[in-house]
Amino acid sequence: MMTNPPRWADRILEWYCRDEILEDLQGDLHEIFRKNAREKGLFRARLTYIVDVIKFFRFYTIKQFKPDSIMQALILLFSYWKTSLRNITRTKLFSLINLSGLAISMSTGILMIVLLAEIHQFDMMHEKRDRIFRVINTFKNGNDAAEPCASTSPLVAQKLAGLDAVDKVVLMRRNASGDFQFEDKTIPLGGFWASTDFLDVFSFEVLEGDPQTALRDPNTIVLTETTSQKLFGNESALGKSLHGLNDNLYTVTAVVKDPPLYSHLQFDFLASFITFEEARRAQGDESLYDWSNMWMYYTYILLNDAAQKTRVDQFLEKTNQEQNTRYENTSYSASLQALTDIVPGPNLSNQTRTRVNINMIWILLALSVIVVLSACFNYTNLSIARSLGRAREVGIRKVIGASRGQVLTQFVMEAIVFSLFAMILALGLFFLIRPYFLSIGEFDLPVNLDFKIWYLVPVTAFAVMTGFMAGFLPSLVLSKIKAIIALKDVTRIRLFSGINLRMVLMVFQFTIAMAMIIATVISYRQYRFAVNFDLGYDTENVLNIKAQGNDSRKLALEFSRIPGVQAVSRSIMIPSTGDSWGNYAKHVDPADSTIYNYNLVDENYLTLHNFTFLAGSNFKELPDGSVSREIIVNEEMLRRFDLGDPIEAIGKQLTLLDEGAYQITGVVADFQFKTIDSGNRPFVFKQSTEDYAIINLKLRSRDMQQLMGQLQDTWKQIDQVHPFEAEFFDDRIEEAYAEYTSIIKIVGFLSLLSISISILGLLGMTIYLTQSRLREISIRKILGASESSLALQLSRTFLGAIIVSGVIAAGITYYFFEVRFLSNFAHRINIGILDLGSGLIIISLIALCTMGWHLIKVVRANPATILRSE
Amino acid sequence: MKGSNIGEFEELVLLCIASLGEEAYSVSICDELLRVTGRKSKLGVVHSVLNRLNEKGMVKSHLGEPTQERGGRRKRFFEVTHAGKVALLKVKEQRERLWQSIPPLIFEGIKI
Repeated sequence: MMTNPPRWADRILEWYCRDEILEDLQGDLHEIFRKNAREKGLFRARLTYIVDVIKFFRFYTIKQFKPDSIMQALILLFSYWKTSLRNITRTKLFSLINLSGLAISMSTGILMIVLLAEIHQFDMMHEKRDRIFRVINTFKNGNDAAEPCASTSPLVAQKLAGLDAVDKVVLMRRNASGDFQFEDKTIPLGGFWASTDFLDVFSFEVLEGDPQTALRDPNTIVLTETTSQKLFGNESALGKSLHGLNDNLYTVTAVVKDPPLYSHLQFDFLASFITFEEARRAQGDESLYDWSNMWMYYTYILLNDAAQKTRVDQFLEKTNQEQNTRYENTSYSASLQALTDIVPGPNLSNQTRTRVNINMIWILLALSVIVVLSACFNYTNLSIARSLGRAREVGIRKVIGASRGQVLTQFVMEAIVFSLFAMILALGLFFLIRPYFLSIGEFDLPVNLDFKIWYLVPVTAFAVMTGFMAGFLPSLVLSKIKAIIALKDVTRIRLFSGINLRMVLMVFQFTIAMAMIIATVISYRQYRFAVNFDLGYDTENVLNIKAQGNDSRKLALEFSRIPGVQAVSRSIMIPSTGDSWGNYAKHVDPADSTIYNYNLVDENYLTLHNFTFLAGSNFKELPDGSVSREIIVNEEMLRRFDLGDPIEAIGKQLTLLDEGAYQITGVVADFQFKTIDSGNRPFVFKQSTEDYAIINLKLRSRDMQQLMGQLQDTWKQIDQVHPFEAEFFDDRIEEAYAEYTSIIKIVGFLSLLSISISILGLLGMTIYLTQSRLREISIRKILGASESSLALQLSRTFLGAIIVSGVIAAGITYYFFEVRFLSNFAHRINIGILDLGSGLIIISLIALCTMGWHLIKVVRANPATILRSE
Repeated sequence: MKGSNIGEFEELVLLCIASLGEEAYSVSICDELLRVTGRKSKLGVVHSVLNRLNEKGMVKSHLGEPTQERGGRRKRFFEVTHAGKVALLKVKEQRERLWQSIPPLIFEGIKI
């Protein structure tokens, strides 16, 4: 019994070796293999063989490329091109089906390519970007989950400035926004406080002024081109003075070009940081350089050499440990993040406006790959099924002298040609779906998906690759066909594990389509659940209006005069929409402090929103200038400090950090303060000593539009500068869950895609199957089979595939949603059988329809005519 | 004359070919080398040396009859050409001249 060396190694040898030497060289190697197998064992023999095959890859053994053969190859390729075209036009229906499937899926591929190309450009304009790092901070309190933030404490900046490895440090503060006045113009602007080296480290093009000194002195400001235009028209802004930001006077020291769309830092102006610092100090506030003061400031550093990053990491580790010893239950840990890792990047809190969550990108990528694969499988399936039809052609080619490799190349080329045509269609489709994708603006995706000409390169490469993937398997099958058998008797050809492979591919497609459908259904239900969730207080017909600096009491009074306004109250923030304001509280034990969330409200707030009082009473109206020491808390607060039941808790005292002691005068039932992915925290309602930022109106009117008009007029009488900014509470809540709408839209869209692709595939297969079994059907019919039993028999395989897919899809989505996704929500829906079955149901219905009409047509046909024409 | 110098290993291979007569092909050359010199040379080394010798014109080759044991693949047999024989004789002569000029005393009493 002859043992043989590994076949694949042999194949490699045959591939690279020159024909003249191949025979005897291979013979020698085989001889040695046999000897080794006898003397040293099979394993050593094989190993030696493989190593030898590799070692013989030398100059004198490998095939020579003769210029003739290149010419021949080209001519051959050209003939393949012609044949491919001919084949495509000959089988128009199948070609159309394949083409559409491929085009649809490739359009998502193109979308992804463009998206990735754009996102890659983020922050690329900074020259020193390889050496720029942002310092991020991870906040952990007690047993809460760690919260990574993009902001950190200014103390970090101070410490890092002392390091050798650090060239420059930029310290910034956010929320620098307000009205700026010049002469008679007042405009609202948003920007940052930034330290001296900002313009040096970041490459924003400076149009006027000296970047080195622009942010050095207090009360200086840098404007963007647009801002400068707004304030000064075409005049030079340098040296002019503006009023703004706490009524300070600022001198313009430089003008820069507007930050481009691809910059994660967006601003209308940059005010010198030192202005802020000095103002704070003048107020007696020394807390600026506290280690825990990490919520409002950003620190960026420029290293001398990017390789020194590890040194800085170590330094930060040490600093973290030193500083955190001061805090018991809480830790703040600073670390470095490369500039290029910001967008796209991890989901941090307190990011500057533009951000792209990298998980979202990965998910989108995975989904588009799946969709493309699905279409490829379509092509593969259909092509393999049609192989019988091409068998004779293959036979003739082989007889004329085509090698197996050449036949393979021909069919792969055909697939690639196909794919290139599909690419053209796909490009068209891409421009169609682009506006739809962009309109999923809840993403806050700062891209406009411009198609640049050079994108054609990766797109074409993608098309060729797709064609290759789709065509490879059918080509393998076709090239194996033995010439003689093909020419003599076509029906005797065995297709290489034809049935099983095709069924697997089909199941794959259906599973994808069904999984998408189920995912859409579940996501949609969770979204509706979130939006309609009972928060524990009323939000219906509540309109929240921003006071924008005006006297809230006056506004409240004026608004209350309008008929249709049932009640008016004031507060500083809007809960249940993602915002949160927090502080620390203690009860009796000075060592035991807890974080709590709060809202500052007036005496009407709790009644307007219908909070449920469990004990105590509401706030009373606070006369001007007086301070109230009363607070109203929720049940969670009582539990936290063991204050007993609501009635007992009345009168007890809590100490709030930096604010002193307060007495509990009321207890409300727990309500959903954060978005429904979080549970509850202790909550405090307090009255504000300063003015309120938001006016809440409870509206009731049959003509909402007229009422809104009246409100707007009233506003204009009080404030002529700012536009009227009001939003219904319910709308705001919907917006808070906007991220989920975008997920739903995308998954829904992909479902449509995968459904179309699977149905196209199903249609193709059905048509093919019935065509190839026409004779059988007619004979059966003549023998007496009923139409329905014929139909059933034909569709049996497909039904089986659909059911299997349904089960698999249900399993996958159940796991994903139950274990991964929904488990992140404190409040969530229960996944029901109907949800999981929705995929199966919908696909079955559609499949029945498509298969149905075709089957009926075939089964009804007169058997006599068919048999006659066979 | 260019290429008329042969290296030590090339010389050994040529000698083996000459001694094997009709049966000189790559595997048997390897075995003969092992038998005489005790050196286990890899097929690859021998093969490339044979190629070099062929290019230098010191050997020529022809394909033999197909045999069952190699799956019907023919063997390539080598024989030393006239140029090769000349080169071998030259080397032998050079060595002998050198040996003759060495006093026998130096090698007295050394056993290998």
